[in-house]
Amino acid sequence: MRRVRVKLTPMSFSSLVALLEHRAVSQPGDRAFVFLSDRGAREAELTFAQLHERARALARELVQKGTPGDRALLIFPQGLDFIVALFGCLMAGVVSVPMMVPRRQSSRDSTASITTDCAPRFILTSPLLMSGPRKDVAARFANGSYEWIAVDAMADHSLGSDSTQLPPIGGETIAFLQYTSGSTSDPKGVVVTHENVLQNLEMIRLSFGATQASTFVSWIPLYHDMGLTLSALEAFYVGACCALMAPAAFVQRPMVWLKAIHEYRGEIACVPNFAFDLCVSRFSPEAAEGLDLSSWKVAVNASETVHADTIERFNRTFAPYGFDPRAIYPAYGMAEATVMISGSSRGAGHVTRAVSRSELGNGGVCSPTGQADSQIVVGCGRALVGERIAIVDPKNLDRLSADQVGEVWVCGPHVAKGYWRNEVAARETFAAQIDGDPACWLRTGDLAFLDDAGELYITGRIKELVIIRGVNHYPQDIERTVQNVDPALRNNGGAAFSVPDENGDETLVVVQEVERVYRRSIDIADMVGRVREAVANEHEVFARHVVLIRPGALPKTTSGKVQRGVARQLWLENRLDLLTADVA
Amino acid sequence: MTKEQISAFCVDRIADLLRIPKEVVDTQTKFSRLGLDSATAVYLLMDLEEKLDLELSPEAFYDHPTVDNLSDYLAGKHAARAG
Repeated sequence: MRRVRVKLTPMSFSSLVALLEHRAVSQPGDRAFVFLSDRGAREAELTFAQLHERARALARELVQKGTPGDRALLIFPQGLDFIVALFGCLMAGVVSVPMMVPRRQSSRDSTASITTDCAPRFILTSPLLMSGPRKDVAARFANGSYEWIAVDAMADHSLGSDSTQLPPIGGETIAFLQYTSGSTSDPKGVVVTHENVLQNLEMIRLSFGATQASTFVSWIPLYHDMGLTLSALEAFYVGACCALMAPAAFVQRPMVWLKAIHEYRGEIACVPNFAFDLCVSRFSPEAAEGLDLSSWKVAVNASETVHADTIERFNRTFAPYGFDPRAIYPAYGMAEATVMISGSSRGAGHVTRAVSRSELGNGGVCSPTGQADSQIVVGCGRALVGERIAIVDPKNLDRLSADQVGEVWVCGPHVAKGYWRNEVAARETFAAQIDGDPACWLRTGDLAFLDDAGELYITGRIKELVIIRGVNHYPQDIERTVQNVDPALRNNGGAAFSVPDENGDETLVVVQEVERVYRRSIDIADMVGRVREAVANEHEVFARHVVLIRPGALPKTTSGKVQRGVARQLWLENRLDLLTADVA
Repeated sequence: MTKEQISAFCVDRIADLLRIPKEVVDTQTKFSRLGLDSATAVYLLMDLEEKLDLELSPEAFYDHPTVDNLSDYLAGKHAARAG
């Protein structure tokens, strides 16, 4: 294993492009990215020099065909083609818009609304998607005129003689737009500059203790901030190797990911809470034979609620295979802050606290009155270097003290500039002020408390986002999908929300009013089936509980706005005016 | 394994995964109609791979979208492997 002397001075590059140029010169032959097959075999790799040369070739093509500032959709399956495409755009000053490959059966996913919102000039995709069995992808864009470019990471450009000049790239240049916020009807592209990215990557470097020897092993989709910035770009930032796998490969065979950590002596790997549970559920002594996880020093748990019992089960299961429980590293963040807001201390393990469940429900933090009242909350780490976190009363905007629940506000150079061409939404989210403080703060919409030591404990959400298996789902999108199933399902008469299931995992509930005139003629079981099918196809999530209710039974404000929180409460208390009992 | 055995196994697992009664899992209803999204389908896939000692791809769910269709297909594959 290569021993590397760690430089203690922080790196100061003006852009990710300047950093790439440095890496291509200082460690040209080092592996930057490796792609692993579904079985964990090495399928492809890129050195820093190769990445630079291939990205540059693409950049020259982009400059010839467009203008700096143009947007490019990046539609790729997990792989190295995406990486070359991203860096090619960065070098050309083209704004990348990473997107999930549209699902075959999904007619109304966010592809169209994101495309309309960012008005791209280019669509970059893999050679396979352009000409293979997924021609349905191209069909979705038939309404506009875009410059399609197939990006092949393995195409050698070392003998190219093109000398097209590339534009200067600075800290304020937009690197990419992240559309994980906002619903289908109201997409919000977070505008992330090179400066934002570099600042957050530096904060993360210090928090992870990452060095050139810190191999990352990741299956998180590259269009998601955890896959892109926290894993791929962080590895690149410190000059380490990042081994990538497809998300479907992990879900189908979780042990392959653990084996890859073993094989590549992975030091850092970041996943949502459910992934730890999945590994435990698929564990067997036969499958784990020979597994040695002792190289894994930073096991980030972020992107959805962190559960103490998940961590305990994982530690128990894998400690005999070299996994150090002190590697567990809960964290919290969002795309509006580039990616990371709070992180644990490397090697310190996780922190928990037992609080009164009833008091927490009222927004207060104190010791439980007894066993039944006790709720375990897991700390998500502390503020990063150069960042400030405040807990603020969301109604009167007063700053709160330790052990008081309020909205998490964030200030720092990693906080994004705003939303793409959406001044109104940006002002609501990015320009908050605390009395007596001149700075602008990001309002996260998440509820939490800080303890005396500065540890952040996330307790809930103001925004009505549903997060299942680390993926954001917008209630209004799901509600619209439901209402489109049948005219009997009233428009603006539905509420989608999540509730904990038997295991404490979030599961989806859909409550929907049925039009008076159809009440007696519909087949309830059939309707529920069709609703489940539509939600599964459009949103890739299981609507576990589908409840049809009488018209007018859905709680709404006087202005007609659906009150999802109240609907949720009524459902939990079994007080909804049902058309019939919930099927199953 | 026979088609009937595979079918019964699928019904059991789907009922388990979706936490619904076995009686409700109709073998001729499309998986998505039952509520099986692609992520949940993968869990079923993993169990079938283990049970039948076969390598399967998620495409199997698209190409054979009911318990009936899938059991038919898998029974054939399983027999071919054993033969």
